[in-house]
Amino acid sequence: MFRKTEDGMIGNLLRANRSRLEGPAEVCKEFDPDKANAYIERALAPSDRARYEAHLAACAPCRKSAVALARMAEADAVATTIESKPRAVESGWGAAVRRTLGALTVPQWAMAAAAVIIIAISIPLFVLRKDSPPAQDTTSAGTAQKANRLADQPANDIQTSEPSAADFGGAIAQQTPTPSPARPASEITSEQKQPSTATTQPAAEPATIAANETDIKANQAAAEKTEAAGVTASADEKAKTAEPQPAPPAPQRSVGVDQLAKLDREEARRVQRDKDDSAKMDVLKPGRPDGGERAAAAGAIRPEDSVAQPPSTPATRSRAKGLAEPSAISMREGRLSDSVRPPRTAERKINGKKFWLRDTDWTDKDYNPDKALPVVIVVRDSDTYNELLAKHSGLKPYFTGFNKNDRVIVVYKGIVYKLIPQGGNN
Amino acid sequence: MTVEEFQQSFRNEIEEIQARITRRYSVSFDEIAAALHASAKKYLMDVLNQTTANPGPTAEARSAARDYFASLNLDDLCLAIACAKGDDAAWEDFYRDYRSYLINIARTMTQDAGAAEQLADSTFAELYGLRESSGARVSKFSFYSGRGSLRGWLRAVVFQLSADQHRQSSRLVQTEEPEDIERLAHAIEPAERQPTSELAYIRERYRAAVADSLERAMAELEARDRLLLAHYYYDEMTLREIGRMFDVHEATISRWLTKIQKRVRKLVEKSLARDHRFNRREIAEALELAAATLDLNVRDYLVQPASEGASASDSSKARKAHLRPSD
Repeated sequence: MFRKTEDGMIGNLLRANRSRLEGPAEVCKEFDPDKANAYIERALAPSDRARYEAHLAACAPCRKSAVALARMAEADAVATTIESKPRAVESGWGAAVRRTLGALTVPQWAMAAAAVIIIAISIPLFVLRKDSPPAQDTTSAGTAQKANRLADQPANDIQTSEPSAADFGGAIAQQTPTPSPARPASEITSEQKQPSTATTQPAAEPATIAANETDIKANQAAAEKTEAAGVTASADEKAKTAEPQPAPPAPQRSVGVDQLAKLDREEARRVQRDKDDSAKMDVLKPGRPDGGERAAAAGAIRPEDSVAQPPSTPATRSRAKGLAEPSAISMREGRLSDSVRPPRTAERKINGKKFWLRDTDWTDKDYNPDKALPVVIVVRDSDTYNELLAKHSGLKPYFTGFNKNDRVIVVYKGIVYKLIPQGGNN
Repeated sequence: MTVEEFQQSFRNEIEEIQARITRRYSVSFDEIAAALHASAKKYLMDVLNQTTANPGPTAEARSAARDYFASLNLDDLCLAIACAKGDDAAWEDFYRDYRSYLINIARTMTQDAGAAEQLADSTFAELYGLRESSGARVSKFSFYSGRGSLRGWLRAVVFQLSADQHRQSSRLVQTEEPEDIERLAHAIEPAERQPTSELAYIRERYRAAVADSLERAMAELEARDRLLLAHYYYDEMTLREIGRMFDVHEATISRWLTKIQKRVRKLVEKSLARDHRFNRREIAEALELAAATLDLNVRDYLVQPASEGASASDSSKARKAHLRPSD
């Protein structure tokens, strides 16, 4: 602000020799803590204040003391705000809600978020079941599970007298020798007398198709499934040829299958789709021998992704350039750091400031623990954190430029801010 | 004015104040009166002097005293009085409310756990009053006036003790201040630096003239202006920090600094023309050279009292012409 209007020449004259060595920190013999504090707290009468300022103008040690005390008072005020805020939060309904929502930002609550997602997915299942006829509802306890089991075990549990569907699947399997790890051979019993289907994933599909009889959509789903499993175009065509086939007679069912018989086509189709989706995931996981493994791994969601990844370094960022998904980038970095990359200090540059990763803290390059600067500890996303950002917008890039779980030490305007995650220790 | 006279003159006001105190511990009316007297002697001297001269306090003096007493941190003051006299309950409260704060300040100042503990211990010793003066225990608490907060006062006390300790330990290893050594070196320089050419001569002449003019200019500035310059250029305070010290917005500080700079330039140019007979071109060259070589030390001129370096008439003229920063 002042720089714009500053007289450069006079400014240079005033700044000259500024860096000259000074003696040790001194306090004037006339230094009066009571008056100095009253001056800083602006508790002096105007005449007293003017007198004290005149003294400060002439006495460098007192001036330096006043400046040091003023800075400490400011840091103290910020720290007091931090201490007093949680006490205020302890009362009131609104505060309780804020506290609860604030607690939700703790990383551990990611599990709770996952639970919510699971519930959100399961609600449509219940809704669909409600749409089914009442007769099904009465017998549908565990239907979904059984249906899934049925879909998973096409040849074990369904004792069909008509081998056409199995033959059909076997035909597909014969044409599509792609091995699938989704179902081990041991699961298929010898009673089924269909050895050709035992080692192939698509073998599961025809049995289900048989259960759905003439449902064209189910056949299409089967076709999709075969595609996902890497089935060739000829196999696809083969699947399509199954569409006009006459409906096979109703299969004889075991006890579990009786309940399945009460499911309408829609549910069976849905079960089939679910099965297809899970089968697709299963097929993708092992990867492909053509080098697509890395891409598949980068795209797949792994359990590690739910855990906060360490911040990326510029080098790895540039390496991972082009990948849109942060999780993929982090995963790749992790792999590189484990195997290839030699260990070195991570460095980040934010808004012209350099930060080094020291132990667990992203530490400002300008931070010197030996320098007696006031320290303010700020808990991320706390009220004080928000107040600080509102007050000092210059802090924003440093506070928001790191992951939520990162600990950051920033030196800003003569004050050291230690940013810690919620629930973290200082 | 003695304590007794003060107590007699302002009895009603003191009683009013006493009624406002939340917790009095074992502090008596006389002790409160004595503490208020000490505080008023420091910050309300004019009113006390007027009261002494008159047969009794005037209505204005009473009003001023009432306002002053009301502005004090009375509960803090009472706690300090009680601690100074050794009241156990007061010390318990003080320990509960301020102990951890004191240790935190000590840690901030020393950046070392051991030194912080030592500093905190010596602060407590000073507060309790281990030192004796004419047989009586002198507690540091007796110097608290109630003008600022007790918390802030404690911070300043710890700061003072910390600086004292630092100075004592520094003296053990340092024989001469580096500043003095540098001054000695500077004193030798001009003698060694013989003008070997006309250019060198001119440079030296310019430098000496600008230094002299700057010194005069600084001496003519108001104390507050010099304080502002010192805060900005030598204490490396930001405009915001200075603004907080003066309770104004940083933009105001920026305006003040701009005005002060203009005034400095005007005074320097005037002095160069008047005292050194420089023409306009020489003034421009001299200032440019001095600003480029950066070998002047304006800081030394800044900390001189205003009376030095300028005649009284010059100062009064300058004061008339000078637009105060707050204007």
